[in-house]
Amino acid sequence: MIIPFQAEAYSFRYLPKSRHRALALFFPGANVAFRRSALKPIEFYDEKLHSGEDTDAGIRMVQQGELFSTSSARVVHTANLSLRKLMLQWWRIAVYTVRVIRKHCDPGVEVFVRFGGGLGMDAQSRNVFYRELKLPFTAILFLTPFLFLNIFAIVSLMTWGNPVALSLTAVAAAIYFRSDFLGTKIPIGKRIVFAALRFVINLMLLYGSLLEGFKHRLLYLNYELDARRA
Amino acid sequence: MSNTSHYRVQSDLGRFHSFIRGLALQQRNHPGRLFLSVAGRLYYAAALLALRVWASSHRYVEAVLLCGSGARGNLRYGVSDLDIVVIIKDCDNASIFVARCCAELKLLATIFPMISVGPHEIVFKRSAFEQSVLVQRPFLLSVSDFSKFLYVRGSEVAISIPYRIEHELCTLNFLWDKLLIVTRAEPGSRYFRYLCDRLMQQFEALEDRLELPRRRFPDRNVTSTDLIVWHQELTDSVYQRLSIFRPQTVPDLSAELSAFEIPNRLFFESPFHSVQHDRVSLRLLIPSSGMSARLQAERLIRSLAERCDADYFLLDGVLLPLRGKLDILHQHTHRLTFHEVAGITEELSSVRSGVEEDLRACVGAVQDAPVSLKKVNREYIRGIRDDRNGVFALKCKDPGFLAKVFAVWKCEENGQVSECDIEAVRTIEETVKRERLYEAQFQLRSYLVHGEVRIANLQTSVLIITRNRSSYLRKALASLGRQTMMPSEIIVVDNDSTDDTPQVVAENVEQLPMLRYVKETRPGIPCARNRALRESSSDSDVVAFLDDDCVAAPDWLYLLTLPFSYDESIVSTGGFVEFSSEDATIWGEFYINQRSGEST
Repeated sequence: MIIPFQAEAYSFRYLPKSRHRALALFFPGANVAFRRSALKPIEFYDEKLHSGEDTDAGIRMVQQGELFSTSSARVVHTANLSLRKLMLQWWRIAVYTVRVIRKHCDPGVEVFVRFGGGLGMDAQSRNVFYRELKLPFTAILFLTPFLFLNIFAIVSLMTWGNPVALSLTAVAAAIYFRSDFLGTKIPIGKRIVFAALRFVINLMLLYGSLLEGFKHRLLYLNYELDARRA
Repeated sequence: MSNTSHYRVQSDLGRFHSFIRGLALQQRNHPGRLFLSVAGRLYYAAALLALRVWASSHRYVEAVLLCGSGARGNLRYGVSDLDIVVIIKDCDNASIFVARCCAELKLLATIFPMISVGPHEIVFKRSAFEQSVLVQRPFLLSVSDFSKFLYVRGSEVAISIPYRIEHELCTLNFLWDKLLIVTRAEPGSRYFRYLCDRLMQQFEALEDRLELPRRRFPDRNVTSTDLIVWHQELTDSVYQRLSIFRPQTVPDLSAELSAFEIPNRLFFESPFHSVQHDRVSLRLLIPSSGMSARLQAERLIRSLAERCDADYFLLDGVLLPLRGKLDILHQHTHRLTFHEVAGITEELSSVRSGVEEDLRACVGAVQDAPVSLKKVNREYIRGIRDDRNGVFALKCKDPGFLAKVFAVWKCEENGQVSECDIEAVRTIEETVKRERLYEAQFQLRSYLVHGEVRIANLQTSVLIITRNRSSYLRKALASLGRQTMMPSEIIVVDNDSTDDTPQVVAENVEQLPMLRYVKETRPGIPCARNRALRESSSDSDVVAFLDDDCVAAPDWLYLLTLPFSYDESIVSTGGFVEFSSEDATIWGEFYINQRSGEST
């Protein structure tokens, strides 16, 4: 079956403090420890995955035993990175998430709803539909505000001038951007930059993994990155 | 212990503990038994109530359990030996409450010469107490909402401040022998009318319950005299109807009471009813308002009923019969009695020889630990008891204490003390003493799950993969040098760097002799990671990965590898990755703002 967290592992890449000591499903490679006897084989990481190798490792580790999140074991990561690197990372995530999921999931259809992120809340995907079907492809769909924004935008572009489509787009955009601009204390200039970054990253996540998914017979509508606050 | 100690309750929580302990120690020389289990804000309530109960008829107090909202969990533990259970609902404001209690004790002190009250402290003089004449009979004790109901004393007087008199009334109404209304409110004033109305409603309800003819008043204009007479008649009917013993005549304290001026206070006062039995058997219970409390109380009484030989119990003013007399109270002889426990608590510091005694000391500490108890609520204790995975243990703020609780449970179940329980409790306590709470939590978990504290000594390797980040690598290695727990080896895998990474590693070898440098020419993170795993010594039980651009906190490795030592089922741990805002670019700030994202 499709393990729900596989599709979502990336969004919990760095566990927020609110998930302190939860039984975790996956740990970032920057701060992780393994019991040596559980590493099978010793060439543990999948060398074909240039990104998402730790997600893959986590998924295989879950089958060995318990993963334990000790969020008091803290490392401070530098945040000194360039725009190019940031974009490259997210492009890789968009592409390699699909490969990791392809590697582990069974054929079927799975639908998640992911609303309510932002404004200090952790968005959590709710699995609303799951069925193992013998289809030629696997479908994993995240229904997110960003997805609806895209659908409405495309529809309103196709039927240009249609007031219903335009207003729906406006509402979807308002819902999507709300968390970027409300409930934060950062200056407005930065807010705009971050909102733009988030928008671009979400575009990459959605279309990057959609395109990559076609190569792997996977219909994958990726989750969106929330404007999550500390 | 000398019998002439003075016990003080001061406005200082720290002293309360020793106060109760002293009280308990003193108590063991006397037939009465006292069990106090107090939560949080109810310290003072507890102390005062204990004083009160003891002062009134300590020879008949088998035990007192006080439960605030946080201490309900103790019911499970304490109820088996109890004769009296008082459930006290949380009070609104501790300081106001304490002030009230002090005022009330001043009142008490004027009645009973053995209690003296200073401006900020209450001194209970035991020697004076012993000389005084005690009213030797069992009593019913009833407290509904403690913050509103200030004073209950066995046998003689019940005074309450009727802010929410309906609660007190519904609990107490037909048990009063005599109703005396002392009130500051002007007769005929609005508040007085309110009081009278409430009383009337209660009386009328009682009349209905007893199927008596309704008493009519013209214009419902009731004076306090009417109420008193009415109450007297009602009480007579109650006793007649229920055919239970009439209480003995109690001294009339109204003259004495009216001699005091208690500012800003209203009092209801009535002689208390008491049931004559040839032996002590309790029983009472008092629910607070609210259905859940009531149900809880009912359950409690049922469980109590199996142990004590009461004929009736009182719930919300309704006298309910119990299922026959079950005289099994003293069959549970394997339980440690309070006398023993108190004795052992006394010797706790000096004698620690036998295994048996040591666990008893634990028992004593458990029963004598109100400070810890406030952290333990009912669900929590139940959760820990049923929790086979020990998840609760990892949230526990006081592992040493819970280990003791668990040891006592085990001891009660098996009927004997085992060496490994003692050892486990001792280990956990020592860890707590060293201020290693996290480790103690794991030890507790191990103890809950396996029945002993299993510690595995593990070798750890730290693996770092790097590529062209020599300046960050220097910081990362420096942070590894500051670890509280040093790894047995550190391997730096250089993924084909072109900068001075080898030199940086070489610089640090002096400080970190276990440091090794490996070069991996195949590009890619997974390749480098696999190389690191291959290179790491097969003796190491745990491998930890650290990124080259991360700085580890000093206790990073200790905390990260700790779970492996105590739980064999854990195969992987991961920590928290924080983004530093120090040299962040605006793109990096995006991550800081997001707190979620990819960054390898």
